Amino acid sequence: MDKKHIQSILKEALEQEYPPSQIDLLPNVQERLVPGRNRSTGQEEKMNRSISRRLSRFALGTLAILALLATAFITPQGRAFAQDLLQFFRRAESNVLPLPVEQVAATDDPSAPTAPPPAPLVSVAEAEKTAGFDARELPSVPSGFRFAGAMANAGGISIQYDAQGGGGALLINESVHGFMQSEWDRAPAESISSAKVGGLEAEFVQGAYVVYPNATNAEWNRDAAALRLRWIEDGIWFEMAKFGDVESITYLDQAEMIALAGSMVYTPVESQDAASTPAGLTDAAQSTTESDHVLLAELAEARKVAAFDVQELPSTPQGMVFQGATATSGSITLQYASEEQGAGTLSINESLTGENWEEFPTEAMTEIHVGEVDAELIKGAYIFRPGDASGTWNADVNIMHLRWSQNGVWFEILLTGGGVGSLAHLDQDGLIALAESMMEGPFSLEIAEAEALAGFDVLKPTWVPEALSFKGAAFESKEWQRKQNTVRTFYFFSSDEYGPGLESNGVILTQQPIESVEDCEICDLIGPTAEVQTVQIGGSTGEYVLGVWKADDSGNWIWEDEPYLQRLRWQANGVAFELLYMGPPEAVTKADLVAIAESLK
Amino acid sequence: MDDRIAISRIKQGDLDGLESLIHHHQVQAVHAAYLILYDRALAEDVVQAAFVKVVERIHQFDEDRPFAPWFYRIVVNDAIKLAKRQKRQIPLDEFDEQTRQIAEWLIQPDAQPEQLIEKKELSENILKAIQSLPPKRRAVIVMSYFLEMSEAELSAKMDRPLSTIKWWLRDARQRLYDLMNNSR
Repeated sequence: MDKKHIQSILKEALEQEYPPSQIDLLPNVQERLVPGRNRSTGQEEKMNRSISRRLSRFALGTLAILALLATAFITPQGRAFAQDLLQFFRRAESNVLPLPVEQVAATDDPSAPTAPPPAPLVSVAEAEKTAGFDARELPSVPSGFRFAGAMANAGGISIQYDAQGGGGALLINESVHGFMQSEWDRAPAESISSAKVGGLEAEFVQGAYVVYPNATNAEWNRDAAALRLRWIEDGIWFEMAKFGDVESITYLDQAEMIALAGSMVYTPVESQDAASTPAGLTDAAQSTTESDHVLLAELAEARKVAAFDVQELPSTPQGMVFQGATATSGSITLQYASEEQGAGTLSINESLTGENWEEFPTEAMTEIHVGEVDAELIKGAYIFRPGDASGTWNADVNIMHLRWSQNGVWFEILLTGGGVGSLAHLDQDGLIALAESMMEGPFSLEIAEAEALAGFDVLKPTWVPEALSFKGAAFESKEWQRKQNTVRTFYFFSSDEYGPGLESNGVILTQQPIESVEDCEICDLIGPTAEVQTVQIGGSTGEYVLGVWKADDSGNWIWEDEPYLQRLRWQANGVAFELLYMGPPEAVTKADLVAIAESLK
Repeated sequence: MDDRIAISRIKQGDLDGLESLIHHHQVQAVHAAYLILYDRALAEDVVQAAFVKVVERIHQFDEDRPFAPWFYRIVVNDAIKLAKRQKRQIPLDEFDEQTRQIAEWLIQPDAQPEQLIEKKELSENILKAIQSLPPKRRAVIVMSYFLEMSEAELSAKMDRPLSTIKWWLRDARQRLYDLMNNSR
């Protein structure tokens, strides 16, 4: 019974169960594509999801309102309400808001679907082009925040800042259409207060409708960390909203927010150029990459944008879920959040410059090692208070930075909430172990460097299959390493033909000078059932074998004929050689391995 | 109209291209989603949404690459997510001996189940056998057997090394095997 037969039976079974004649999706797809008919297909929802994703790491149940704010505010739906404007916030009739059915379902399932990649964040200048008007901006990035980017549609702009270290955000929404019109937008009258922004009437609200686990209603929580300020000026409808309550942004209360709103300008001062650059972008990169700054759900796509060999964790850390990745050319940030909502976040930034590394007090830094690489660990955070623009360092804040540089790439891991609760395993040692697990493999040397360390002539192939490229070399001699006095060179798949998932596959050439077979570190036994083929490599006789040792369910080692692992071994001139190939058998064949061996010089 | 032309038209704002894509792919896509969800309405909803995403993201799509794997990946991913929410998995012990034999055949095709079971029964029960798996494992079976993706394609599309894909496939089969043994 072959695979084709299985496929045919499956197809037949499906056609019986679900006849193709009953499938006609065109009318419904067309229906969904009609603008405004189904918001889930529109740009508005993309923005909605973007905000939701970015804030999900800290909010209690305020996600629903967060998710709607930037989106609905800048859409025409708010226009009707605008015509009737006497108040900036609609008054809710109740402190309880029933949830739509789909949201009830979503709240009881932490593994509910994640959103697709949202709309890209761009520079303010780019957003202004889309919006069609000149946005007002803050004169500088507010203390405790960093500029994240802006998004826009015709007539609306949302400028976004993230709290440094995560856990909060500041949104500035500007629209020619009016404020959002949604149940979530309302607030009980007692939570709304009048205010003045630059002499103009405004309204301020603190609180949000909060969705508690398994609840079918959202309840108004006047203490929720959501502050909103609305006003109108020059025909533009403004909303400033702050979410999150991490210490670095707690200073931004009602009074500070009103002051901040009053400071907004049409043309930022010169320093605003930097503030308008999405976090993580260097000045040098800005001109070419700012519009490429994207918030992506899928790592593969982010890797393409980053355009360098990105290292990643071998698996998602225990107690966390992968949130997505942001990338620009030459920089990528992988975001994780605790499964337990609000317990912590983990972000891993890799860049080719390291220029956006934040300055920390020297006394806050501890020199450590990640593997064999020098690294520094920083515990704590700057706390910004009104009147204290430079901030005060607080070592008790549960934020850890771990950073190092390796092979031209600058790594920084930022962990909040580690070492306690569900993230107890991510204490200092746990964080270091995490970093070590993602460090680049041992192939970090040039052949000449490995040769110098090894003290013997390392042979190099003059031919390898076209799909393979030289990755690097490694020299192993330490006691804890498996091989003694061996040099390994790695030729990996660089060709797109086999897809981006094969970078860790390829050919490893191992060489070790030996005086006798007993010295040979690369002459491991192969399984008794392995089929060994004798091959001729120039004047030497070699052995070729398919397979690998694997542990069975009982923990016993068994030899498995694995076509994805091929070995060719031989000895010549006092050196033992092994070519180990991992990958699709059709990409590199036995004949190819022999050809590589014969090309060694 | 082939997929490449259809995509080119969509990029130019011509939704006739979408109609062509829908006609080419809707049946296989809905069947794939159905194999994961076991719910007609949900399967159609997932595929409809996937076509809408195609329009939304069409400018991200590289026309030099085949459309089908990209599209089916969206379908399969979304179906998995929805299936997790639906939590519609039927314990294997609710199935009869025939279903177990078919599940075993999916794992070890050389077992020649048609010697034990009439083809009609096989056809009727194979869907039940797949339904006994959790969504992600179903997806591996769907992608491998139904969408005819090679392990190399799966590796590329899932952004995982080939060895991982092989492991997933083996694990899916192993899990089915364990389920059967435990239910006996």
